[in-house]
Amino acid sequence: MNCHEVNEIAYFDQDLPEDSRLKIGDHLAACEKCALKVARLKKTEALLGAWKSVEPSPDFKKKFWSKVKENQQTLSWKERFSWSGLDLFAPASVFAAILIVVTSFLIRAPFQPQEQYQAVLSEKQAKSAEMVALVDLLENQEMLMDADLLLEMDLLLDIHSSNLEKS
Amino acid sequence: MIEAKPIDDTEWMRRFQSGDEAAFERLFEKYHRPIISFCFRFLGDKEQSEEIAQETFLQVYRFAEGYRPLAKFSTWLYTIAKNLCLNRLRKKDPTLNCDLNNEDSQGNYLEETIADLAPTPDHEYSQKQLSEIVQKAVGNLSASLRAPLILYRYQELSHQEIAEILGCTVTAVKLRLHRAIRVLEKELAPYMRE
Repeated sequence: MNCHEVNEIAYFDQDLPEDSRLKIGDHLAACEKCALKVARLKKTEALLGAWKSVEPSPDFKKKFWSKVKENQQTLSWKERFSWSGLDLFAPASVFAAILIVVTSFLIRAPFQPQEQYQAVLSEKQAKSAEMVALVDLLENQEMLMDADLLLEMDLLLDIHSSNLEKS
Repeated sequence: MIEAKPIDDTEWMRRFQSGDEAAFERLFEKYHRPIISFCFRFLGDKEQSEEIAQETFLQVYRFAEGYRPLAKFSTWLYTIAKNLCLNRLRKKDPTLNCDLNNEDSQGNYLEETIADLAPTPDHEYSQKQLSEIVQKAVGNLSASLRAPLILYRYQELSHQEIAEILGCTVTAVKLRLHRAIRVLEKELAPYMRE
């Protein structure tokens, strides 16, 4: 093994196969330059160990468990308003209910003119029936053949209505 | 006599999923220090690291049902902590590049370097000073080099676990570790005793 084949960082790799580690070790024993590189890395590694971590604050656990408790209370509140304890369904079901109400209102709205139309139609049909009755009353079959006169029947109806009111 | 098989983290999580709160307490007791340590080394601030550690365990508590034992529990836990740390860094400075898979990502102490603690010939550093020097040197590494270094050197995780946490390949983890060591070797050279 020569200097180019030695990766001094790989020497510290936990996954390095044992035979490779032994080969590098043999080379380091014979090569001052590579041994120096490894020594420098060992020093870097040792210096990294100087960085001490922090200890948790004395009240860390207490703070955490009180947050957990808060979380539990929030959950139990949600469960009260949920179906089968599936709290995700609670807001979803409320939303769905609102959506149904709003949608049915919006769907219903365009039918209102239709209903008005039905009312007007019924009124017209009633008037037509009266008109037919009037025609029968007039006993003039020839008038039915005359389309123009048919168009004027509304007027006749009005006259008839007013006559009825007067009588 | 047959020895009882020790209960692993996955089993504790399974028990917690079944409603055993004591199982969660076990996991919290086991991991709260390592998670605080990881967050502290990544963010460089104790108060924030404790907040993030608390949030990490709260997420485990809330979303325990979502845990599937496809990966180790610790890998899942560190992934949550890492994501929360990144969110915190982005919130603190939206312009900061802290993408863990981007080599141009930035360090934590960009305006404050260890050169401020430049050594004098006969100066002997106290343990506390050396700790501060290393903290700043590691903190100045880009996020993409800092994260694998902390997880490997300080949290003692395997390359495979680190790859899973960071969402990259094992080869990428090894390459970043090599680069991180090279950078630190240069940065820390003046502080090494001959």
